[in-house]
Amino acid sequence: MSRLFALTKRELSAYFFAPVPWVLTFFFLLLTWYFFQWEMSQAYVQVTYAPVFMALDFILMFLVPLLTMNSVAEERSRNTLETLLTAPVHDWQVILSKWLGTFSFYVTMLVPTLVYWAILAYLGYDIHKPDAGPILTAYLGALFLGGLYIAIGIFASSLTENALMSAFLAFFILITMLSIGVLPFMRESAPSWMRDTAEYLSQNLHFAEFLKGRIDAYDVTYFVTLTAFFLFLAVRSLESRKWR
Amino acid sequence: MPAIEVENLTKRYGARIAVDQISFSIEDGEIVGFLGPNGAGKTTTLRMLSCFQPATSGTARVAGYDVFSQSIGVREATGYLPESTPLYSEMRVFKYLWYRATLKGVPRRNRRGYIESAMARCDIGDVRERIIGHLSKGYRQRVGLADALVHRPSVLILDEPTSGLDPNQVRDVRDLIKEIAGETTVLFSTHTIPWVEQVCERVIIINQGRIVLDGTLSGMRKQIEPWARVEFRTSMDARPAMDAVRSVAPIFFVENLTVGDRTTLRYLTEKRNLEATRAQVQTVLASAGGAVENVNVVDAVVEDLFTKLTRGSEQIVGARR
Repeated sequence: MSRLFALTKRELSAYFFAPVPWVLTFFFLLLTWYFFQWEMSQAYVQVTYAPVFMALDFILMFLVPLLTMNSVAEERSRNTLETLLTAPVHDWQVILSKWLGTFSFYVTMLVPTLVYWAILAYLGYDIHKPDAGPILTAYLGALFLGGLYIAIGIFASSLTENALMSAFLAFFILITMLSIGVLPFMRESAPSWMRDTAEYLSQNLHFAEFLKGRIDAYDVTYFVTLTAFFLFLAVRSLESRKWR
Repeated sequence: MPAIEVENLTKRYGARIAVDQISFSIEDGEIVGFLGPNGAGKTTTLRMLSCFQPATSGTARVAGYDVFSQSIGVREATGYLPESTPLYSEMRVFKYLWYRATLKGVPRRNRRGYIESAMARCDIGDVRERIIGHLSKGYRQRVGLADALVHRPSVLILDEPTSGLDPNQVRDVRDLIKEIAGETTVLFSTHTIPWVEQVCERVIIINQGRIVLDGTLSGMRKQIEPWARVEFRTSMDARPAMDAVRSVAPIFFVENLTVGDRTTLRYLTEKRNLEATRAQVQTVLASAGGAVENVNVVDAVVEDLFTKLTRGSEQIVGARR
């Protein structure tokens, strides 16, 4: 346990002391702020800031691969993977710590967006209060979504020692998952089982449920299992050094 | 029980055989130099012993644990310094060693003490708060060594611990290894014989994935006694002169020592045929249009055996302990 904690701590501090994650945080806040102020400028009454979250799966599709691209790839290119994996730690501990560290940084990125809640409350005080329920479930959904994206990013990073390659790979996986959910709608002729599978695999419909204020075990299961699946693949990819 | 026990260890990368059925055993507290030219299979062997890569076939036990089935046990008992001394360049020295000591399972109450003594041993106390990336190569190497030592392992595996160091730093590493001798088993790789002669008695030489010698330096010295080094100058160009000398049968190998414009060559041969060999060399050079000048004959050194084993085609398994 202390090993997993030490690994996670190093992972997180690597994010805190590098410039790139902060540049990404800046762009993250800039983009979410754009969607927030667009929402505020609309004529209708707002009690949540759903557009920020609706844009989230798209924003994260670009940001998360850039955030995770170094996680394993850099260890490979700097050869620190050799010192890391010859220490008495299990491969799964290495991958899980990378996920936990990145996820913690992602939460730090997300925290400043709570300001929007305060702004909403200030703008609409005593007329229409922010609706805490859907906002909270949206944040929960954002955590699940981010967790999945990070797992995919780490998996992509574990495949190569080239950081940019890994970012591209993660982006490719994410955009494929997103688009398979959209494509069958354009082709209604597709058999229903194919459409159902594609819709199940695609992240945006599951995420959309959270924005409606619903926490469905069906969607939670989707995120948890798929996150675990990609982390499992990342562990296997680390182990693959043994079979080359 | 031996600290390291290797049996028929083999590593294949596709069709290429990097390590070919090697076997050796190292007793507790022994220091062993693992020698070979670049690409001989040294790093691959050490990586298999440190559990970074598994063997294709064969077995290895380190500190009583099997490297494949009990790899965590091996890793807990072993301190390993990889060839390039990889470190997290953005971390500070003390923080890094703290992190590594935690990973290696040093209990919290002992951690500070263990780190302090590893830093004292490697003489890096003065850079404890410095960022690793800002350190000189010599300091970084010593940080890597401190990392290998920090959990007080019973076996130390060091891959080229002196590469890239200046002569003073090389001496420091030598003293360090001598200091931990006895309490710790040390297996280190290098490609310089003179350095090994200052550190330990036992040597394993590997060439093209096979062990060509496993013995002691005194055994090697005995083996080179009947050999002689012959150094001479000639007016010919180095390349044709070397080809000519190589054609003389009793010569083990020829080296080019030319500095400046006068060709200087050295060859190794047996003392008992020395006169005949020298006469033959003179003849072949004369027929190639050159003359042999300034001949100087001296006793062979241990390095000559290493060169002969790793360069010559003939392989000698001997110099038994």
